[in-house]
Amino acid sequence: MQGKRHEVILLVSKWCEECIPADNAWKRLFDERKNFNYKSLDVAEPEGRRLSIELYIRSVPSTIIDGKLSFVGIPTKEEASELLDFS
Amino acid sequence: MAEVQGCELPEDLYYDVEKDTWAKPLENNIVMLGMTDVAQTQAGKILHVTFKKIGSNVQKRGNTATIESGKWVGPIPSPVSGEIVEVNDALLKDPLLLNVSPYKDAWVSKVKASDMSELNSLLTGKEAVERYKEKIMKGQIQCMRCSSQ
Repeated sequence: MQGKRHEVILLVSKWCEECIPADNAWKRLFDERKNFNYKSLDVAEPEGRRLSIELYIRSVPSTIIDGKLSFVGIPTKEEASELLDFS
Repeated sequence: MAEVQGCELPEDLYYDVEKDTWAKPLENNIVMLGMTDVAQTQAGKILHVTFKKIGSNVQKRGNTATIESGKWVGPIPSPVSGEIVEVNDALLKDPLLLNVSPYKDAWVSKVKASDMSELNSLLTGKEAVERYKEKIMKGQIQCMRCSSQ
């Protein structure tokens, strides 16, 4: 049965270098699997800021899958894949 | 835009660092005011705003509005004395704007200042950022954390 297409958002900030490898990990997984939607949002921008406030996010990079906080920090590609499979 | 521990601090604004409010001089002695990133972080998710009436006179650090969050009810003091000439009604419908855009969309009130020289007692630019750095470090305030720190 075709599973639901997951929505993955990575909350990032320009002043946090760890956000770059986290973004790269998700992009690599997206290029490989292509079966989920992915975007990054800067917490300094209104959309990213509103999401971080509503989900009480206090750290970046934070991974939000289908509207729920799923991971904080830099996931390995395997961890990211697992996060998707168990969401 | 300066940033300390994830707290944003536009350097072109004037700050009452102790009261965590900012001021922006406009034309005709009008001063726009609001709360800082540090203030919204400490307040938490803001649920409700009530304004002091337009036409009311307010002293420097007198109350222009009251905000309620899940854990706090408190005033937004005016950085200058004068008459309240406008309030930001958008906050009545969407108080979360104060958390989302404390320096732009969520300005709180506009005061026609009775003495513009009161702005001189506020801090701006590098000096304001330095004073805020001290306050943020001392208070261990963290607006947003980088997960590796």
